[in-house]
Amino acid sequence: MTGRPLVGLLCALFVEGRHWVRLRWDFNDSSYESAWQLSFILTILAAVVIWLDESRYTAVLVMIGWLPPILMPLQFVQSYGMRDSVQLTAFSLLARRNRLRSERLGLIHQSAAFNFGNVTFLVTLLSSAVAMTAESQLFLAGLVILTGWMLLANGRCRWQSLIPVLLIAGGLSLAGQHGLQRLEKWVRRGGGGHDDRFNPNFQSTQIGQRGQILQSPEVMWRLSTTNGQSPPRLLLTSTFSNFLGLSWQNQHFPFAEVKSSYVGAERYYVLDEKIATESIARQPVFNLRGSVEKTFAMPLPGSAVGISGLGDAEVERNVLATVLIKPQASVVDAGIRWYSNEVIEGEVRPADLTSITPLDREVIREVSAELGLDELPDLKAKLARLKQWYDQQFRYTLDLTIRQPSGISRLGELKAPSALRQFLTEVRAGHCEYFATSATLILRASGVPSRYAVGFGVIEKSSNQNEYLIRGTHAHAWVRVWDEVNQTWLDFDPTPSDWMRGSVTRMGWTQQMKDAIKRLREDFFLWRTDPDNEFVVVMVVSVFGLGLGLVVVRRLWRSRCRVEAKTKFAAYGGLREDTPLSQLESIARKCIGSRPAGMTYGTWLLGVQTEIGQLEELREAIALHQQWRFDPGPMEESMQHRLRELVAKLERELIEALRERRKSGSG
Amino acid sequence: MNEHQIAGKLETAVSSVVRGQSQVVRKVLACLVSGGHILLEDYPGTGKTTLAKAISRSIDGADFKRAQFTPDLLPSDILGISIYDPRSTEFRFHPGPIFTDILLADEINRASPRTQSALLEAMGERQATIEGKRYDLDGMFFVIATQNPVEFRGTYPLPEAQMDRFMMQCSLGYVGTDEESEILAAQMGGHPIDELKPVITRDDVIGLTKASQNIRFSEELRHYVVSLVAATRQHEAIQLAASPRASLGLMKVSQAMAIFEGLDFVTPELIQSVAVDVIAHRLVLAAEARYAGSSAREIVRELIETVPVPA
Repeated sequence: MTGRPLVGLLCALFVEGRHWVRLRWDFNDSSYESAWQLSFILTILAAVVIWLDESRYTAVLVMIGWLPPILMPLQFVQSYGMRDSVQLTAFSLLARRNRLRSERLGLIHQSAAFNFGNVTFLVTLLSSAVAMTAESQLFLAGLVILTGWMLLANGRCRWQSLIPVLLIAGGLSLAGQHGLQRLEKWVRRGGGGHDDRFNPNFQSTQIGQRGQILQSPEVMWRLSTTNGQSPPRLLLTSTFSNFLGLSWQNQHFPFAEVKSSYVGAERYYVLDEKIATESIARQPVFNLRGSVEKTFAMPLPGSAVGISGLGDAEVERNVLATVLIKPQASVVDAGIRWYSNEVIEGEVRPADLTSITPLDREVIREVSAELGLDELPDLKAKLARLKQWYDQQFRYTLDLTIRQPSGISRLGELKAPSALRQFLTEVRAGHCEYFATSATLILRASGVPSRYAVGFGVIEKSSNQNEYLIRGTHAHAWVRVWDEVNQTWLDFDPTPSDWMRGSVTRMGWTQQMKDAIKRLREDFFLWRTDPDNEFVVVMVVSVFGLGLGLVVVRRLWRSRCRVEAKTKFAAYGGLREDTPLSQLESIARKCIGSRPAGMTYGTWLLGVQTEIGQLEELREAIALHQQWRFDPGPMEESMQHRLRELVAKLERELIEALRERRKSGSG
Repeated sequence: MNEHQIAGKLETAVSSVVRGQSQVVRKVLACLVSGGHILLEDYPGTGKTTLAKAISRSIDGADFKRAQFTPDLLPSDILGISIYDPRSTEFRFHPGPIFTDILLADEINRASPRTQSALLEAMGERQATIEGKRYDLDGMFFVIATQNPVEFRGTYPLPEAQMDRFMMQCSLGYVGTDEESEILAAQMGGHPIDELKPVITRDDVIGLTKASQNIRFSEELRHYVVSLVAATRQHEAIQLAASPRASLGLMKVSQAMAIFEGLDFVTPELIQSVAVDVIAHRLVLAAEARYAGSSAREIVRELIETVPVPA
C-alpha cells in the first residue's frame, strides 16, 4: 500500500516463507550481530540516498516507507534461524562487551531475547499508514479484513460477535490514521511552523503586525551567469492586484500550460511566444540551481523569455507572470533566457483603489495630491519623484512598530489611524511590504496601472566567480508598473536601497557549513542524474550491490541446513464418537470459557457446578459420557437413554443459569 | 467378590495405617497390581517402611523382606550365596532377600553400582543368575526402593537406564497437620500396623494383575498415551526423553488405576493422574533447563496441559 506492491509482496513472502521452506541456518550470536550491522549500513545508505533525492520535508516519510525492507536481514536471521528470537546484545556494543566479560569470568549472563517479528510488524504498519503514497482506504479495509481473519482463525468469535469487534478495529485504525496524518503534516511543515507553501493568489503581509521580521538565512537558489554578465536585479515569483486590508490577493486567474519546443536535444519552455525558439536559445542566459518542492514558483526576471534544463517537467503560468513548475527531481538547474523588451505578462492592469478601505483610500489620495504626481507629464518623472520622496523622508527597518487599530471607539471612529496612514504620515519607517504596498496604491491613485510584486533581490555575490546566492533573507517586494508609452511593464522598487545592506550580513561559520553541504548535495545530485554520468553511477552501484549480495548468498548457501518439519503431536485420526454430553460444550463455554487443550472434558465440565449446583447428576453424566466415549465395549441402551435425559436436564439448567447471570449483569 | 472390592479392601487396610496419603497409597498399589516396581523419593520418617510393611501384612501369604543398602553391600548380600557345608561336604545355597514377594530396598542409592545393577537385573528380568544358575522369581515380586532426595554425599545416583526399570516414582511427602495429629493419636497405645490383619491373599493380587490386563483401553486413548510420551522427545529442555517402556508403563498403571476406580475401561483422567509419576523420572533434563531451575515433573505437567486430550 505504499506504492511499491512488488517490494511489499517480496518482503511478505520472505517473512512467511519459513512456514513452507525447510531451509534453516544455525545462526550464532555473531550472525545476529552482522545482520544488525547490515541493517544498520542499509539504513545509513538509504538515509543518504533519500537525503540526496528528496526534499527535507518528505525525506522522513520516504525513509519510514523503506524501513520494512531495510530491516529484512534481522527478520531473516530470526525467521530462518534455529532460535525464534533475537538477543538484545546483538544491538548494543555495551551489552556485547558485558556478555564477553561474563563469559571470560565464567559468570552466568542472562541476556534478554525478544521476537523481532513484532518490530517488523509495527514498522510495516507504520509505513503502510504514513509513507508517501499510503492509501488510507486500502489500509483501513486491509486492517479490518486482517483483524477479522485473525479472530476467525483463532476460533474465538462467531460471525455475530465479529461485527462489533471489526467496528472497533476500524474505528481505532481510523483514529490512529488521523493521528498519523496530523503527524505527517507536522513533519511536512518542519516541526510546528506554519504551512508556508506558495500560493499564487494569496500573499499575506506583515502590515499592521508587531514584532520583528524573521527570515531564513538558508540559500534557496544559486544564480550563475556566463562570461561575467550581470544578473537581473530582481527575480519575480508572483504579482498581485488587490490589497484587502492586510494581504494581497488575486481573483483566481487560471494557469495555462507553457508551450515548449526542442532546440537540439534541449527542451525550451517558451514564455514569450512572439520570439522564435531558436532566437530564444541565443538570448543571454543565467542558471538557477536549487532544491525544490513538488510544485514551486520559479523566480524569474520580468523579461524572461524561456526556460531550459528542466527536462520533462510540467510548467504552467498565469497572466500575472507567475510560473509554476512541477519538476521531476528534487534539485533543478534551470537555464533562464532573458533580456527582451517584449511584454509577456497579461492584460491585468489595475489602476483603481476600489479594493481598499475608505480610510486607506483617503490617505493614499492625500499623499498623491501632496506629491503632485498627477501634474507630472510622464511616468519617468512620477517614479523619480516618488522614489526621491521615499528616499528622503523614509527609513528602512525590519522592526514592526506600526499596529493595525484593534477596535472602534464609542463615537464610531477607529481608535488609531490605519497602519498605512501611520506609515505614510507618522512613522515613516517600515520594511519592503509597506513601501511596495503604499507605492502601488499611490501610483494607482495618480492613474498609473501597477501591481504588487514579490520575489527575490539578487544582491549577494558568492565567493565563486559569476555566482550569486539567493537566501530567504533576500525575499523582497516591489512594484510592477505599466509603461503606457512603451507598452511594457517596469520594475519599480520604492524601498530605500539600504535594505540590501541589512539583508547581506556576514554569515556565521555554521551557516557557511550548511551552505557548503547544500551546495555539495545539489551538485552531486545533478552530477548523478546527468545522463552522461548515469551509466557510471549505475555500474558502480550495481557492481557494489551485486558483490555484496553474492558474498552474503554464498556464505549463507554454504552454511545452510535442513530441518525436519516439526511434527505436531499426532492427532488421533481414527473413529471418534461424540456423546449427547459433547453438545453441552458450546453452552458451557459461555459460562466457564474455552477448554484448554490438555484438560479432559469431564474435569472442565465440572467447572459449571457453581452455576447449576446439580453436582450428583453432573458427575453421573460425566461418568456415562466417559463410558460411552472410552469403553470400547458395547453400551447398554438404558444407559444411553439415561445420559440423554441427564443432558437435557443439565442443558435446561445451564441456559437458565446463563439467563440469570445476564440479568444480574445488566441489572 | 469382584476385583474392585478386592482392591478396595487392600486400599482400606493400607490407608488405615498410612494415614492422609490416600492418593499415593492408591498409586503405589496400582503399581503393585500392574506388576511394576516403585521408587519412593522421600525424606526420612515419612512412612516409607510403614507403607511397605502395611502392604505385606495386608496380603495373606506375602513374604516381606527388607534390605538396607550401604556402600559395602555386595551383590551376594542381595541375591544369595553358596556356602560350603562341612557336614554334607557340599556347597549349599543360601538365598538372599531378593527371594521374596515384597522387597523394601531402603536407600538404594547408597549401594555401589554393582550391587544396584544386581537388583535391577532381577527387577527387570524377574530372574536372578547366581553362580551360573538361574533362579526364577515368578508370581508376585514387588520392589519398593527408597532414596533420600537431600543427602547426596557418599551416594551413587541411579543411572538413567536403571531409573527406567522403575514403573513409577512417587513421593509421600509430609502429611497435613490434622492427619499428623491423627497419626499421633493412633499410635498412642501401640503401632496400628501390629493389629493389621491380612485382608486378601497373595493369589488375589496375582488375580488383580491378570484382571488389570483385561481393562479395556480405547484406540483413541492409546494414541493419547503415545503422543504424550512422544511430546517429551520434542521438548527442547529434555536431553534424554521417555522410552516406549514409559508408554507401556503408563498404559499398565492406568489400567490398574481403573480397577481401584471401579471402572472396566480407562479414562483420560486416569492417564493424566499417573502420567507425571510414570514419565518424569525417566527424563534427563538438558543442562540449561536444569540450571534454569525447571524440573522434569514440571515439564511433564506442562506437557499434560498442552498435548490435546480426547474430550
